[in-house]
Amino acid sequence: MSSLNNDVGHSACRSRVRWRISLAALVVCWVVQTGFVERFDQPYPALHMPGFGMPSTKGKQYQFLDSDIYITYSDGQTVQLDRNEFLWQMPAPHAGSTLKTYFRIMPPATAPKRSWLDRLIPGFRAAKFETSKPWWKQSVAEWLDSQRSRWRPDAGDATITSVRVEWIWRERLDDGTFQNVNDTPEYLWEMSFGEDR
Amino acid sequence: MIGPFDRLLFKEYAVSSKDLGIFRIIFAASLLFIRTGRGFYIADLPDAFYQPPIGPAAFFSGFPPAWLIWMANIIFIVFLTMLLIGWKTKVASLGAAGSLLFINVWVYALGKIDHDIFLIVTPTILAFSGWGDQFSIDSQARCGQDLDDKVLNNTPSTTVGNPAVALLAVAVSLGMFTASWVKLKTGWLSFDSQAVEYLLQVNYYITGRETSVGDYFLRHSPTWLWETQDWATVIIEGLFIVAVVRMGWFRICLVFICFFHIGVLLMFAIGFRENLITYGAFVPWSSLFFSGTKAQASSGFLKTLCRIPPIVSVSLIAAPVVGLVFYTQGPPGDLFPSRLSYPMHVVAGTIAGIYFIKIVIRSIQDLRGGKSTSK
Repeated sequence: MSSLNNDVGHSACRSRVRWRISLAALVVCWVVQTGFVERFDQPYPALHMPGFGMPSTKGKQYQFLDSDIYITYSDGQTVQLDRNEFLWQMPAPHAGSTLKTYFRIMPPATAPKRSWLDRLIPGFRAAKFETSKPWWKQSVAEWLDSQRSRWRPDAGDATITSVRVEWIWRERLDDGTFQNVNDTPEYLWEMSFGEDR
Repeated sequence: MIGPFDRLLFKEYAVSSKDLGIFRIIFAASLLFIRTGRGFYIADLPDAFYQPPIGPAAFFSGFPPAWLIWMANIIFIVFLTMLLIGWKTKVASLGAAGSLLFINVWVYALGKIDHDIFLIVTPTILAFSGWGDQFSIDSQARCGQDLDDKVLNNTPSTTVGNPAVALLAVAVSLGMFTASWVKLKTGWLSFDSQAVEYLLQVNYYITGRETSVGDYFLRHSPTWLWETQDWATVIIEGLFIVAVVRMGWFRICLVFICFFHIGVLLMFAIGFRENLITYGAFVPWSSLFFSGTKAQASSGFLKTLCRIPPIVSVSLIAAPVVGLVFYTQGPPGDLFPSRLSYPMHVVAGTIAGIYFIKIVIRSIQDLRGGKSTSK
């Protein structure tokens, strides 16, 4: 009987130790993860909730970097889309993020230098480093071509010849209307596909 | 003498296995409705958009084929169904967490991470909580014929703290603290700018989520009210890390965060269904819903369920869900208006409201009791 009691006691004790270790491991992992987020970027999976950003303010008027997308077809017609129409396959927040990542700053002539972490894990933020390479443009061109009838049902045989994304600072006035802050776009992303086809 | 960490782990979170059993069913059913059928669109995207964060997807160079995402979704549905009926609950919990993680890893390879990590953390931790000990096929198999006694006896099955529930509370607190910390760092408490106002404007005018409440606030809210919302958000999210040491305090934080989520839904049309489901682990469900008649009904239902081979039960539930996922190309919840966000928030708000009123009444009673004693 006493041996049975001892066994139960040992088992309960081991269980308690396991839970204490689990708690310690959770806290340590969270601390390491927080350090990683501060130094690099948010990993996934991570015990992390959205913090959102801080407004870019100019006095009391808030400014937004808004985007207008223009798609020109080989028959000369141009359609204007918003981000959710352009990247319709994705949920809205993913569309905003994807547009900001790839269709804001023009690809550099040569690929940017990767940090030691990027070199260690080649897939990490991969496409960001590939936008200057021919395969990237080719991949985007094929995707655009597959979507041309979606954006313009009467496109027929007309192919997409260029995509232009204008990023413009807009501000909301006290009367609820909007105005462009500058005459020229803050960023301009433009790519022609005609010559490649 | 018991240390603070031991008190937290082994004493404080005394949640009955009956409450956990009910929560397990709510959790699995909710996920079957809102979290299955994810990520089919990524197979149609070009690898030009592939830029995963640090994690498993970073070891690959492109999106997976559609069939793999389909397989992962079907496996996820099967594990959730096993969890729902409580068959091999531990395996089902870890399997559901693993398959959802697998799907999410690819969905977030676009570079944008949705913050639904609690849905993975919850079954991973609660797999070891005994949430399959009640209202489950496992409990029937283990306890044989004493099911009637177990279900009908309305006393809590556990009176000591449940370390798994405590660990989940710590995980939730740490997660919420990260949100508060970023806001604190980026100046949400500065009186020079109003972050909630700015975010609402972006959400309303650029993202296009136009809500009546948001419109009203944008037109009429004074600066001090915006600033109050900034401060309240940072404080509520940050308080969890302190409140976690007592379950009562933690539940009060959950009450406030439920009201906060309702406010966000009404103003921003952004639902936090994923978080609300997790908060359910700390709700005393049996005291809310469990009368003797319902206990008898559930006992009868379980007995009937146990007569059917589990594999048949799983197939009978999982097959229609897979069919609905195929039909909607998304979660079955998409068939409902607002994707069940509003009903789920109303339920959470009602529970939070009831708990809040109970606290207020108890505090008034305590205050009166204190006064009469002092007289």
